[in-house]
Amino acid sequence: MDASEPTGDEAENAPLLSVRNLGRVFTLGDQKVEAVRDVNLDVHAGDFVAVVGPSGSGKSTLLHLLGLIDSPTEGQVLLRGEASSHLGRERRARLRLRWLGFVFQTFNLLQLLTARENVEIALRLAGVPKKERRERAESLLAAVGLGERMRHRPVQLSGGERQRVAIARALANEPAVLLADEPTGNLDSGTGLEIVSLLEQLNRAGQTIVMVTHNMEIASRATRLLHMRDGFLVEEDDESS
Amino acid sequence: MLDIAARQLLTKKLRTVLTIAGFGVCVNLYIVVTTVMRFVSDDLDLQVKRFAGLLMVQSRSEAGMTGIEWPPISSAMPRRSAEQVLRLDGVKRDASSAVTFAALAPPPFPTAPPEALLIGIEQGNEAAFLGDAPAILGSNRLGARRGTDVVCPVVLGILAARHFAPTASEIVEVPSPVGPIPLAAVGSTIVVREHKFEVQGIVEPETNQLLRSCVVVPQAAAQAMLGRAETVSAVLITPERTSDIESLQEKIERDFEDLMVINDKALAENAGLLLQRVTQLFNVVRWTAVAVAALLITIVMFVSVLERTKEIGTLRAIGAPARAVFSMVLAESLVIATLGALMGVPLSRNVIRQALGPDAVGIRSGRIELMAVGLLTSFGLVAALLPAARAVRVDPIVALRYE
Repeated sequence: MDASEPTGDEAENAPLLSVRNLGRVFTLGDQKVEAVRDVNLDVHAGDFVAVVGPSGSGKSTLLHLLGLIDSPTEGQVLLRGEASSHLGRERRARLRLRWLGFVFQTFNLLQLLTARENVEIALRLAGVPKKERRERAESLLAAVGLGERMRHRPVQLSGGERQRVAIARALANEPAVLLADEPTGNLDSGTGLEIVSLLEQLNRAGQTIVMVTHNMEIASRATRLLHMRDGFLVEEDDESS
Repeated sequence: MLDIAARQLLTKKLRTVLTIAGFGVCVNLYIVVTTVMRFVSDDLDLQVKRFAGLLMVQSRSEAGMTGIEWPPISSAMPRRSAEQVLRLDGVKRDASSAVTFAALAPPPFPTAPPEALLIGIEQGNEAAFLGDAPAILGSNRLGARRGTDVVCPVVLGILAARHFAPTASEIVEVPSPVGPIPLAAVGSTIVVREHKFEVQGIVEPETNQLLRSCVVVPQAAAQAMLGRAETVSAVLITPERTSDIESLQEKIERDFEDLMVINDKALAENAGLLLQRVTQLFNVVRWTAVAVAALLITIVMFVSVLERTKEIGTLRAIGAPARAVFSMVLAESLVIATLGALMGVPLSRNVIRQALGPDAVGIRSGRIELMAVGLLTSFGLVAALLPAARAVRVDPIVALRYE
């Protein structure tokens, strides 16, 4: 056996998602803006990570980099141990579809489709057969408390219901990591707490979650709290110390 | 992705309907023009075949698109010259005649002869023009009644019979694939430029456009009607023997400097040249229809992609591969093109029926319709490639910020 290959325990403890010396510079005219600087992070299976920080601190950019939607200008993102951030667009899309789930602040549901079809679309893109995807979509919607609303279109649903549909869609392909960008940002505080409770339940069931938020009350429900400031990432423990 | 494409189209009903209608009109235009092109081509072939082995003598003229005016309506040659030509050795007299041509109605479409074309011909020698074209009703000959009688005889082509039906003393309806056609009945009286004629017969419609539009009357009656007693338009000559054609042509051209002789070869060349020019014009119209249809799809799909930037970006963000987004845009164009084609085909059938009337008999071609649908749908899909490529390039990050 090659000494560099991980042992069974090492493989089990290997992070699902890691970033090494991650940096992202945007060029705006003559100016260069460093949105993310020298970030190192490991996300392990079962983590519920909240990234907090003021507006413009780079937390959404970090989430886009973690989710392989954007490519870093420095460093790299490793998904399940494999360097993934510099792959081509289509390979990154395949990895997103298979291993990552996304929840957005503005829900980003397809307005033409019903709640069930919105969940089915992720399965459809993954090539899941029709009968199976229908059953799975219905089961996921029932799990997020929308068993009775699956034939409704997004315009017929409340904000909280739309975000539940978005969560069900994100879970459709059983992602390794669920990435949530301000999932409660467009909801009232009560509904926001309901959504974060749902995320907590999913985490307790084993789902790994990385959530970006500016709301400390919501962030405090996570098992790990990270702060971002001026593009730098600071662990809660570091900050408190 | 077809179902999503169909739903997307349903959300913008008015735009979808207008785009489909626009595409349908282009399909219709392509089919109609191609059909008319084929009709003109076939008809010119039939005309050339009909006059094979004949010589046509007319006054020298540069009229017409190709230097030969056919039929020679503006030609005028002295009657005396016509008589001298007809007396030449080698002329089969009973199948040759001086002829007077005049337009009585405008052509039904460009390149076609007039819808009613007056043919003044010597009585008893009608074969010089009509050949052996049979009559569907009555006789294909003028008969014994003299051309100077108060009521003269007339033999009509089917288009001319339809043209004169509204003023005929009696009409008859004949069935056709485009419905019953009212015609001036055999035995009825029609009035042509204040002269009365009794219909002797109607010529079989499955001939050429010249015969379908002919109003064959005695030469004397035509000359009186037109006030051209001393001139005729042309002389149609059937040689005694086929081998006489060249010598007869040479003799006429040598002895009559102010006349020109057109043989069937020149007529075929003339038809070919005419067809070439007409085809050029028709091709411009056809390819303009294709270009407009393609442009329509490109513009509409570009607008659609721009409107759906957020939706497409979301799909890309959750992992939709490029081919899924690409095929979604193509599917939408395919729906528009297919529905447009389905609308264009029946529309073209109606337009052809309305425009050509009895000429529409047998003119419609399933092959042309199929070709038009296939061609325009393919161009519609090709036209959607640019917007589809644009959709694939949508950056998920930009789309996620898109509000």
